[in-house]
Amino acid sequence: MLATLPLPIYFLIGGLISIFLPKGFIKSSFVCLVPVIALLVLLNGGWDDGFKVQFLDLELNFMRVDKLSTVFGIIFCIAAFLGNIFAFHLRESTQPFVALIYSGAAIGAVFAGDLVTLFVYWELTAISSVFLIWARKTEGAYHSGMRYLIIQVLSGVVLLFGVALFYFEKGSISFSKMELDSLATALIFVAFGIKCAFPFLHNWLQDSYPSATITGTVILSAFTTKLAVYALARGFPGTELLIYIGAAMTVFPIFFAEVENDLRKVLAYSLNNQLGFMVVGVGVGTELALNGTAAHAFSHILYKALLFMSVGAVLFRTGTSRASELGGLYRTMPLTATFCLIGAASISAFPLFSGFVSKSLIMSGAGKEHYQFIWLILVFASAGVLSHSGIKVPYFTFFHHDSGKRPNEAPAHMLLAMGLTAILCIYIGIFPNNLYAIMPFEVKYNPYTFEHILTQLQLLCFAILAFIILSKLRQLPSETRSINLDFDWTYRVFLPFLLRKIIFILELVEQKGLKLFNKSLRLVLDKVYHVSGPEGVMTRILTSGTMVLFIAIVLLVVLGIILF
Amino acid sequence: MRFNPFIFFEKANRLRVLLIVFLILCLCLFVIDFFVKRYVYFEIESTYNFYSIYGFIMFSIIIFGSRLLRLLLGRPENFYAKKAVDSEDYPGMEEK
Repeated sequence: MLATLPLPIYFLIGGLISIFLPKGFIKSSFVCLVPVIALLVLLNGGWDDGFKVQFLDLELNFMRVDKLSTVFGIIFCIAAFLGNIFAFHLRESTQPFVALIYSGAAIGAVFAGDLVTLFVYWELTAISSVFLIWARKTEGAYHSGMRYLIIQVLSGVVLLFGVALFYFEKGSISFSKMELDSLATALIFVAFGIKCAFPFLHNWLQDSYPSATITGTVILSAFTTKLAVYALARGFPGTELLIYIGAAMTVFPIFFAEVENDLRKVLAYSLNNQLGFMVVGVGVGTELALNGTAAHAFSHILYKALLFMSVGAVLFRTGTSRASELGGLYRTMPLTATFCLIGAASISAFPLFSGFVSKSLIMSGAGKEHYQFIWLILVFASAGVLSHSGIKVPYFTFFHHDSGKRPNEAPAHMLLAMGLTAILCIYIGIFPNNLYAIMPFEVKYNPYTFEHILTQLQLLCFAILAFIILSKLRQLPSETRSINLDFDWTYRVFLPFLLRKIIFILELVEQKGLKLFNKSLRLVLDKVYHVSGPEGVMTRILTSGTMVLFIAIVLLVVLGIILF
Repeated sequence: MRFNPFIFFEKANRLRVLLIVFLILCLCLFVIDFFVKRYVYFEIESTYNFYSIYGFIMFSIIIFGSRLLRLLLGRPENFYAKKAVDSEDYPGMEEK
């Protein structure tokens, strides 16, 4: 019985227990242990019939375990484990607790068999994860966290409306493949899109991830967006619109990533670009492409965590993650530099690294379905990934000009977390069949053909050659302390400005209108006063004699009328 | 001092040797394409050295495109002032 409890329960109970454990070694070890136990329980299985609960008229299923959800469940457990090792040094209660609740909520959402359960966990990921941003305890982080929370909760509210409408239309809350043909499914699609950082809905990602704590960003990077990718793969596979959305997602962040100064923001843009590949895979929707999406999500979580860890370790040791203030750290942080290079090689999809064996599934998926333009964009985006994550991040941190900083090597637990992640990246790259074995569909694909290796090396080496030449010609964008406006400018600057203007105009109208009203009222009152005031015609005080005369005249007139 | 592989390249000319090795690799990749009959999804892919040329040109476009982007959208770090973490320092190593 215990073994067939829903998986998130382990995280929720683990989180609650962690609050009461003494801070330090015991608490940190415990939060590392919880995902391991959950992973073992998951691999043990036993949810063939799900975990169903009757709630009002609805049948909720907390554990829909199939191949697709298992892939994401496994990688989420691994990511939680690695992230918690990286955060081993924390001597506080909030972050370890929140990290467990957040990862548990994400896993709960992945195994949700119905839309109501999905909604509950969907919101829980939002509410729990924001504390990883607020834990930075600065004013900027507070505002950033607020924006993150509003957008994430909004995504949940949109989802709730969609689910309610869906229930009225279909009489069902089952979470399975949907068609994008009604308001209900459109709302659900948009809710997924917000969390998946679709273009124009993406800014929460680049805003919040660099604002979180060093360890918080590593945890954040794994779950929310990949949960959304899973939800899309479950709900909208083969929706052609997703191909174009995904392609746009792979392209535009490249340019931003190239000129951003904060390396964690660079990585956040790069994350957006990688999500694009997965979304294209969902849009293509063939078995090959969906395998690609799942495989790419799996390897992406690892190498992206590795990159965030290495930049995080640098931030931990130097107090900054700005490219303009870093450089030359290979002298004293060689291991971190090596791990960062492994992450960079993986994300750039060099042969023998994880990105190579997963991204090519999506590319082949798009190629086989004859999406030539999309395929060209994906190849372009592959060169783009190399430019910012493959070259920029390691180059400006550990090489380039000497910043004069001589920090110590990262602490042992961070090195351990990075080392394990790096080993997994290489292991997946060398033995892809182990990854392919857990994919949702059977994989008949060999990434290590001569021509695939050749073409990939041609693409990457000549892109690097372009980098070397442009670097020699001093044409690379300089590293300066600056930011770049993105779409969030609209709601951070323009809309508040517009709102202030509208309020100003309304106030003006109110004031002017009130003045006019007062003036007219006075005019009317003056007239009334003139007529009915103490000196007015109607209220003049007359003598009794005049009144008797007036009555006599009236009587005479009446008499006259009667007589004639 | 523990072993640090990167220090190895600090010595005079070693980095230059690495660069030359890389250029030779590029040359090999360029030449070898002539002898390989590739299976392709699209016509354009079968162009001679499609990947090398595409990679080189696209990387350059990214660099110049992003510089243009910065020219248009670049702003000082404190643009959002206290409502963003852009210009603030990471709070003093409280995590240690």
